[in-house]
Amino acid sequence: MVKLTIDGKEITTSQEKTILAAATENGISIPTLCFHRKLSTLGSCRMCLVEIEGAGKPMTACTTPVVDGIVVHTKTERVEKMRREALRLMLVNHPLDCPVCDAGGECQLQNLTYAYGIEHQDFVAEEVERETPAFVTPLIRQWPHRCVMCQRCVQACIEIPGCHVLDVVDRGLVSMIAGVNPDDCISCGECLSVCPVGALTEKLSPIKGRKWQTERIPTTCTFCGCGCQLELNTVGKRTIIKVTTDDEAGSNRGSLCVKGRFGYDYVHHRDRLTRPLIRKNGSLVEGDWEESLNLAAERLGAIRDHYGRGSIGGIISAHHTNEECYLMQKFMRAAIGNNNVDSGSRLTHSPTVAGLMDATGYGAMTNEMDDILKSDVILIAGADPDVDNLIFANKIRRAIREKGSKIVLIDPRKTTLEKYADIWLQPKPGTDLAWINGFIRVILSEKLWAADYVRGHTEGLDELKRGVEAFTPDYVEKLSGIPRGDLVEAAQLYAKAKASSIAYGSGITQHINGTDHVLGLANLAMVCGNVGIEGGGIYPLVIQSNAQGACDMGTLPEFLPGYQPVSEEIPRGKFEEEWGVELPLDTGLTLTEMVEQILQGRIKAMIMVGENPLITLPNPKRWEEAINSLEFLVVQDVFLSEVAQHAHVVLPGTTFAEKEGTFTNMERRIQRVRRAIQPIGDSRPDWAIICQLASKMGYEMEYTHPSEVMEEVRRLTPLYGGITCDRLDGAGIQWPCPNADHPGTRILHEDGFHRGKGKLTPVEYRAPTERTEEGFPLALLTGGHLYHYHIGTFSKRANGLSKVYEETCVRMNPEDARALNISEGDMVRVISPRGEVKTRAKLDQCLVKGMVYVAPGFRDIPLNGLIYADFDPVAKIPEYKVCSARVEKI
Amino acid sequence: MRERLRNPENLERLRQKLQKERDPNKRRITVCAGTGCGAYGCGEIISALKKELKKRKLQQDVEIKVTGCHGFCERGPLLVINPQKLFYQKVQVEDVPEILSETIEKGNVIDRLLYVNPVTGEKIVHEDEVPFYKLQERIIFGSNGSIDPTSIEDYIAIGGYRALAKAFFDMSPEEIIESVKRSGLRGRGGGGFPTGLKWESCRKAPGEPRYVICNADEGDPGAYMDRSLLEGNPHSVLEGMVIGAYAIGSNQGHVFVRKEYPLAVQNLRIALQQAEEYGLLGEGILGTGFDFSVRINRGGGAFVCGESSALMASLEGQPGEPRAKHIHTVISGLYDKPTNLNNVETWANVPLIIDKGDQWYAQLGTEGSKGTKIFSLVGKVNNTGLVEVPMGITLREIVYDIGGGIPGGKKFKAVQTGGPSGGCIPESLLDLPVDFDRLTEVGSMMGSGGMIVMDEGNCMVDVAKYFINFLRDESCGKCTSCREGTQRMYEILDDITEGRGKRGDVELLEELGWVVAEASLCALGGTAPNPVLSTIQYFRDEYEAHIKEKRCPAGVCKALIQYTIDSELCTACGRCRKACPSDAISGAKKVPHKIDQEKCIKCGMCVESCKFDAVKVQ
Repeated sequence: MVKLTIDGKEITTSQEKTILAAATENGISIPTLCFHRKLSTLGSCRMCLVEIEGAGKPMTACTTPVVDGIVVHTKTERVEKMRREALRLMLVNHPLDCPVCDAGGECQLQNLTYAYGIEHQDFVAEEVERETPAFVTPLIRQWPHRCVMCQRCVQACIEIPGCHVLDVVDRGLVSMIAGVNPDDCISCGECLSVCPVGALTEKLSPIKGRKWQTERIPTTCTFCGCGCQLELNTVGKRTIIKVTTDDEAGSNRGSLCVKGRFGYDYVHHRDRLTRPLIRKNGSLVEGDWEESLNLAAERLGAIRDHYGRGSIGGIISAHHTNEECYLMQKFMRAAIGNNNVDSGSRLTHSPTVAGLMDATGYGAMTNEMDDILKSDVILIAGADPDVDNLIFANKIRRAIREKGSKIVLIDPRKTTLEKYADIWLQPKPGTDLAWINGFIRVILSEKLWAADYVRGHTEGLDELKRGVEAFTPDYVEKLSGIPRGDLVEAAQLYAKAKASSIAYGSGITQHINGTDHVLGLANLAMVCGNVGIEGGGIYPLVIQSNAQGACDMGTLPEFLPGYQPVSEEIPRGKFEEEWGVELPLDTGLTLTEMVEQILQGRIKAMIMVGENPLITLPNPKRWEEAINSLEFLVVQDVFLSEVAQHAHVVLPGTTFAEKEGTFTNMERRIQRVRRAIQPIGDSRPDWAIICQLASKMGYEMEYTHPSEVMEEVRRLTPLYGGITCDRLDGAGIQWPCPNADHPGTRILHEDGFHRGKGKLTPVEYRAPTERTEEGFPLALLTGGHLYHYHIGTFSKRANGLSKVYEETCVRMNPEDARALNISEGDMVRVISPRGEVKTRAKLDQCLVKGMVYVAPGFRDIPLNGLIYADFDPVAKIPEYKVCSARVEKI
Repeated sequence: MRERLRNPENLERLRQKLQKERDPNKRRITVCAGTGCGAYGCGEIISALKKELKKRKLQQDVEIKVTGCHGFCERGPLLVINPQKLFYQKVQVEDVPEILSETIEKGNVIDRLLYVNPVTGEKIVHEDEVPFYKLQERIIFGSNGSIDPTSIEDYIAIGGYRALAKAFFDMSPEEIIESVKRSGLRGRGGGGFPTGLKWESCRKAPGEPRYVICNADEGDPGAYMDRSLLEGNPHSVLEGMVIGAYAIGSNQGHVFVRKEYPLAVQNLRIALQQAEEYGLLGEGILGTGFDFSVRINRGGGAFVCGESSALMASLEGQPGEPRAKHIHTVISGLYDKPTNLNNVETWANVPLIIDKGDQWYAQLGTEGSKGTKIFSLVGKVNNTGLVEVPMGITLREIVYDIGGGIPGGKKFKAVQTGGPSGGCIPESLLDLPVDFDRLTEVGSMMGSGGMIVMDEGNCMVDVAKYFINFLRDESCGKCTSCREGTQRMYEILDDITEGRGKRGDVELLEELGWVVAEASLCALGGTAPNPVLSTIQYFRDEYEAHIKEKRCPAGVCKALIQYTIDSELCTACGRCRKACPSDAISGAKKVPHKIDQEKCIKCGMCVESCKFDAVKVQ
């Protein structure tokens, strides 16, 4: 600690602080312009100059570290004069086009000019002629003349998304910020969010509303599992005009990805369903709410009564709120009377829930996202966070920059994170258990394991030892293609560090042995003592905004809310009492199992809330057949999805912007979703629709606000026992939070494993079902898309995203392409044993030979028709990630 | 093939062998091939000499030694004929046959090639009698005239790398640092920071690896001492770096050199290769376990990259912009590692300090500034060139005794020291002893050693404008005060010289100058107002004349002057009329001529063409 004096006030602070930080935390304000808390400092604007007694020249407070005993003056005549001069000089070339500037009202230059009362300056300057063109993308516009050359945008672009699109060109007066690598821009908008003036603005929202004309509603982003906090800027409670962020809010601290910042306007898309639809004479026609709800209630009731309680299935998407998911499962269990309830989480997140719950007791990310900043080594397997979870990828970059964290990347594909990786292992698709077991064998045989931890906190070591015995580096190399030396080196790197973390994504989970993969990674983490510690942990990366919450809320066929088994009497009794009904005991059906049950005639009706299995699941033809054979189908959605077109009743729900509720992000943080605008047209929030449907069916669900639903969840679910709506304002709370005084849990298992002892489970290697076979020599990989979310229902209708979205394509290694006489941009057929799609070819060095990659194609390219329809025996997740294929030029 | 030297004895044996091979009485023609003489065409002279020698079958008897810059650039191309040390100047290709037939073969001195002392009118035969050389103290620069920079053997023969052997085998790193501290050596790049202290901080700074850098990004217009050292004696710089690296504990060095210096790069590259062959660089230097290698990095030509933190940013591949240096680069420099940066001339001083001892070195110079300094003496002075003088010599001695005074009988006005951001020192301060501290006291600086002499024909407002124009163009643009402030200062000065000056401009310049100097991020902005502020300080009346009377006393600022013809003096010879490029002069035979002010473009051709001093500037 050091002691210093600032403006006569004695201050004690830690020695790594700057004078600016020390002053700020003691309520002494020093004007700044180029300084931004989350960026490294530049000291370019000269606004924060302060005098230090004994130093000859004034020093910039933002860059000067505190030193014991110094006496600082922040408001002397000398420095105030300098600040005034600096401002006057900045104003010489700054056009005073404030009336039409987007930053008007929140421009730092404007504010400082006001604060210093600068009425005029002495210089008349000619407009500066610059040769370099302004940086422009479809979403971002630069106004070079407004720029004050603080270079925040350059720092932000390099340091946060790691892109280096912008930099300074030329020097002196004509120097300017220019797009030096414009093709690398991922439109995250970090640059414009840190611009202190209006020199970088977004192109979607000019002249739609000034700061003082808009309301800023803080809410949670719906485009991935990061749960970023953003502000919907609205006019008249009816229109969203832009998205802004608060630098202090949420885990994202003001950063967003292109989807979060520019993907909002799908909310106002003309395709929005504004009235209920009823099938009459084979086609869907507009009806009113009363009629539609009555029809749905009547038909569902009749089918339940005629075919039995088990004849109806319910699915909700993984981007509906916790409250809606809770009501959905309550509706299925209490109003219909079965456990056939599942969510979209099945298709991405279910192996994590199953695997981690089995191994540790909690099926979720162990540590909070920010804790990755403390990891010495980060192992990233089967995940492409730059595309799916940019904010998490930004944190990895920050860990590398600030802590020097080492990166072990494991992916068949060379993702953008490869450039940061200390080691990159490239297993053949579907062979992950080989390297996982191989890692553990190296660690055990080289005695790199955490012996005390394993003995004290886990069970099953001997079985595990036997289980991995066969996985010598040679054997692993044979199975996975990973060179044995690399495997050993990577295992050593992971095991020797003080704290190592594992982050994984759909490349790990979307396999027939997805659950085994998760168990294997849990083994690896536990063997090295990396669970329950800071900087360690397991980070399952979640693609859908409420995949975790949907599971927490019990939209699972085997669990009531909070993972309380339906088969166990005690929790069930509690629910029966609260809900006033007798609950079914039998485990219900998963989403993936339902198709066969429909085709076999056991399920006669379905309720689908925001889910679209015709696109999301393999074997769409079989699903279509199943859907067509249903006696009754109710769909709730915001657009007329493929499955909705087959429905008997379509009920128009609302988007996240039009309703209240909560999401639980991938780090178990429960955060508020706030209503920013009135529901569009005659649409209604899905929670309200479910309640109305239940009531019509004779099971009263009387809630006036989703907070009342959360109150019920709190009473019934120990995991959420301390969650109340008012506690969630601000940073949200991470479960488990058992009571109202509990602050939530940043790191799971810190005081021992939730299940008692961590369970080490030997996992057997199983080759992927589908090997590359004759006629189909290529391995087809699928992954996420930076500019799209999920199946594109929302993002394809976002005007902003459509400006930057690159048409779907198949990426292939240039050598493979040459052998097939395929050139860049050629139309090709991608054919698997099950089907084919047509798309364009793009040559990509990042793909090794023998591999092709397609980002999900949505409606135009129903890629899932190509996928093998086998699934994981535990989590029932389809094997999306291994598929053999060939490519033909058309 | 050079055999690796495995210990100091090897080196000494090699030196003795080389010295034995070199006959001091051999006839040798030394040709300066430095920057100045190169421009005068010494290349052709060298080829002509070789051709003539061959023709006369004298190749075996007469050696031609092509050296780096001798310093007396004003009189180039320069030839020294040994062993007599005959000094020929302004030699032309046509003189070559005669030099061989008369001087080499017959031993006669060619009179017309001798240097004439402009003060006494006496002819000088020998190099060491030339006052320009005689009054200098050429401890660093002296060897330039006698060695071939592409031959490490030449350097070793005159004692090269002896200091390195001494440092490695007779001294500990701490002792080297102590010795450099005792010598009083201060950084020659301009900052004047004590070199030994810098080394010590870098050695003690935590973190590995450490770097040493040689700053050869010499950007001051008219300054070329670093260039001449690198071109003429690269091993002296290299030897200094190896000693420094050993003392600091660094295994990697960089020389950051302007891309405009191709010969320096070429000679340095040869030097690196030769030193490596002898094991004086690279792995296991002189048989010790110490490794040190040097990379050459070429700068892109930005003036600001001579600033240490901008230079390091550039080395890292970042835009060459200075960084805040609250943590010194010795602690966190290149790649955030401890980095010791010294300028070319500083490094060249090091072998001398180690070889001859810090006590010997500390005898030279003043209390606060030890040793010598090389200046590039240019402008309105008779003997322009590079001069090396002991610290503490007065400006008057440099300008008048070494420089030979002002040409054309004009009156001295000021000398600007320290490069573009130095200040202008007036006549009243000519007896100022030149050292770091005294120059700063009078509003100028040592800088890298530029020295521009001005006479009564220089307008000080115009001079200030010239320098601020250079600096605003070279400002990197990172910090507000320098980027915007220098531009505004330039605009005000431009207005004044164009006759648009207004009351309050001088005060505004002073205020702006204060902000730019005080608030800027790096030394470029910190010193940029010097030429403006110092000319205001010493020549305020000139500013006032421009602004209030719309008059340029020196007759330089075109907008403020008028050429007229004195009809009394005009003989109507018509020379001016013919010389005028804009047909502004009219007149017939025997009718005094007149200048049409509308047409006059103020080029001054009429003044030059008039033989009767009839054209007047007002």
